[in-house]
Parts: sequence; structure tokens; C-alpha cells
Amino acid sequence: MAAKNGLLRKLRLNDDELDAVLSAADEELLGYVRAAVDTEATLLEIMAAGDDGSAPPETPGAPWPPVHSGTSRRGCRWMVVAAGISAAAVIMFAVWCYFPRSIPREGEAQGTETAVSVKTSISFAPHRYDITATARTQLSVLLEPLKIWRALYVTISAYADGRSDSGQALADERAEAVQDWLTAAAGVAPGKLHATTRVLPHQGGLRHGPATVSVVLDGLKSGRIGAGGRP
Amino acid sequence: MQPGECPPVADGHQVATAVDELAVAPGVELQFRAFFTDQFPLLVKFVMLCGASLDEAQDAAQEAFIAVWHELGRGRWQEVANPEGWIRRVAIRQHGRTQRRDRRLPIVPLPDLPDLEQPGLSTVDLTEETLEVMEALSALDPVLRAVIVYKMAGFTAAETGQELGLTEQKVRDQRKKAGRKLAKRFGGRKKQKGEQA
Repeated sequence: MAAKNGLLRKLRLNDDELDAVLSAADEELLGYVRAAVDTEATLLEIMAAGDDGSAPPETPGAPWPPVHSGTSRRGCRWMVVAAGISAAAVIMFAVWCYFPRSIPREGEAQGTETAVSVKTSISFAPHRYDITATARTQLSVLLEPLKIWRALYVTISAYADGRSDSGQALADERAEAVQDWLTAAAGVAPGKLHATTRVLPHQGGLRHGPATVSVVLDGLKSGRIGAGGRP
Repeated sequence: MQPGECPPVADGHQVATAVDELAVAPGVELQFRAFFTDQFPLLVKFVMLCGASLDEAQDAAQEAFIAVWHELGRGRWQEVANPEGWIRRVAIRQHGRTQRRDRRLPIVPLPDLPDLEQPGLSTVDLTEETLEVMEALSALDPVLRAVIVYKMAGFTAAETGQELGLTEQKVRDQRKKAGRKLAKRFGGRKKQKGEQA
């Protein structure tokens, strides 16, 4: 093995020999270029090219060839500028997501756009206002948006059969039950909950009415939120 | 004076339009000529050692000197700390850009053209040894090739590092690595010559 390594080393050129080979090739190539290139004609072409008012073809920027261990000052500057712009964009997006935008007050002009709208609807047993397990599952779809979007308003619309005299009271109980559940489960501030109750008129085919409560989450762009609830 | 008209100078002659429009002083123009005459062949050779053909190298070098001419016209050329390194970097980048552009161009099939009768220089005029050196350089990694070519152009390790964005020590290491590869490759030729002798 050592003999083989020694042989390989003998077959290699030493530094001086390598320099001699390279400089001989360099000299010959230079002579070749000098013979091949008409420098005076090229000079005139260059000065004429500078005469046409065109932009300079190139200015040095990043080093060549591309290396991973360093960059030029200009390259660094551009990287810093790009990083700054990206950071600013991320911060602005975070601020836009985190802070609530202006909340329309009661009776303000109605808006036309809703940023977020999540709806669900639950049913009650006839003449009952307790929230069943199925209803809890249906209501739980609202919890995640309520946690992420701090400025959502919740509109609860409760309906009850209008045949009974106690229809209005039952609708109020149902809306209150949903409010209580949302306050307890999702920690929604009571000020964000707007309950409207409605008693449907008696319709021939419906014996007990729809007996439902619909819950709508609306984003802040909607001016309808504080205006008394949804029909 | 009408636009585009050359202004008269003290000695009654009109200097070149290019010089006027770029506001290059005659003294600076002479300086540019001297720099060009000295450096242009060296620059063409440099780009060729980086893997370009003669025509490609000549084009790249010409673009680099046009950039010099513009910088002179804007009065910024004096700010360039290392003019030799500057033109080499510009020429190499221009060559790389041309290569990328040529790769994107669609290839249109054309019938074979008849051979030109004009005699001219070609790489056939170079000896086998020189062609082998160029081939060996082109087989190296870009960074290794660059450090060797800069060394052949007379750049110190520090200057090469500045041009390539490497530390001086890194340049020395890369030079040694490239030297080992080349020495191994040319060793075979040494052996053949020894056997012939």
C-alpha cells in the first residue's frame, strides 16, 4: 500500500512543475489571443457603444462563482432590505389579525361586507329548552372561531311555535340557554352576545313549529351586527 | 449648438462624440486606452481559461470594457479599488449571463453551411499541452477553477478572496486542492514523456 502511494506521489507533478505547465499554457494562450484579437477595432467599437446612450451592460454585484461562504457588500445590502420588507409584512399581518378593528355600535350605518360568518342551528324538544348532547356538538363548531377571532359578534335567534301563549317565553329560554352555554364553554363576553327571539305564527302543517335556535357569528366588517340581530 | 453636434475644442478639432457625450476628459480617455490595451488580451485569456471560447470571451471582455467606459463617463471609475478584479468579475458575470440566455434560446434546425474558405486562428493553433490545461481547468469545480485562474492571472490569495467572497485561508486551501487535482492529472503526461525519453 505504501509502495502504491509512493508511486502515485511520483506520478504527480510537484508545485514547481505544475506552475511551469500552467504558465506555459497561459503564455501560449495569451499569444494566441493577442494574435486573434484586433484591439484597436474593439476599442473603437467600445467607444461607439458608449455613444448610443444605452444603459451600461453590467456592473459587478455578487461575486463569481457563487460561493456559500460569503457574499459581496451589495448582495448583503439587498438581502438586508429583503429581510426587512419581509419582517415588516409579517408584523403588519400579525397586527391585522390580532387587533380588533372598529366595532360598529348599535344603530350605526349598515355595512355591506362580512369578514367571517359561521352559522349553526340546533333543535329543541317540544316545550323544552335544555341543550342536548347533539346540540352541544353542533354548537362546538363555533368555539374555534370564537377563540381565534376576538372580535366576533354572536347573534342568537330563537324560534318557537306561535300557537301557544308561552311561545315567546320558550323562545327566550332557549336563547338564554344557548347564551349560557357559550359563555361557559367558550368564554364569550356577554357583551358580544346578541339574542333575538321570535315566535313564529301558527302554520297549518307545523304542529309545534320549528323549535330551533340559529347562531350566527359575524366578523366586524358587518354593520348589521349591532343593529338588533338577524331576522 | 444643435443636439448631437460636437462642440469645438480649443485646438479647433472636434473630439469623438462618445467622449463628449460621456464627458470623459481627453486625459482620462488616454488612460482608458492604455488600460484597455494592457488588459484586454489578458481579460480575454482569463475568460477563456474559465471555459469560454475565443468569441465568447471576446464578447464578454468587450461588454466589461463598455461598462468601464460608462463608469468613466459617470466619474465613478476612480472609486473602483481594484480595476483588474472589477473587469474580470464583470466579464465573467456577462459570460455567465450569455450562456444562460443561449441555453434558453430555441434551437432551429438549419442545413449545414459550407466551410469558410477564410483561413483564421482557431483552437487548433494551440498546442496539445495548452488544450489539455484548458480541458483540465474546465473539469474542475467552479470555485477551484476560479482560484486557479485568478492565481494564473497574478492575483494574490487576499485579492482572490476579495473577488470571490472567500477568506484568504479558504483561497489557499482551494488552491491546494485544485493543485492536487491538476498535478494528479498532469502526472500521467509526465509518465508518458518519461517513457518516451
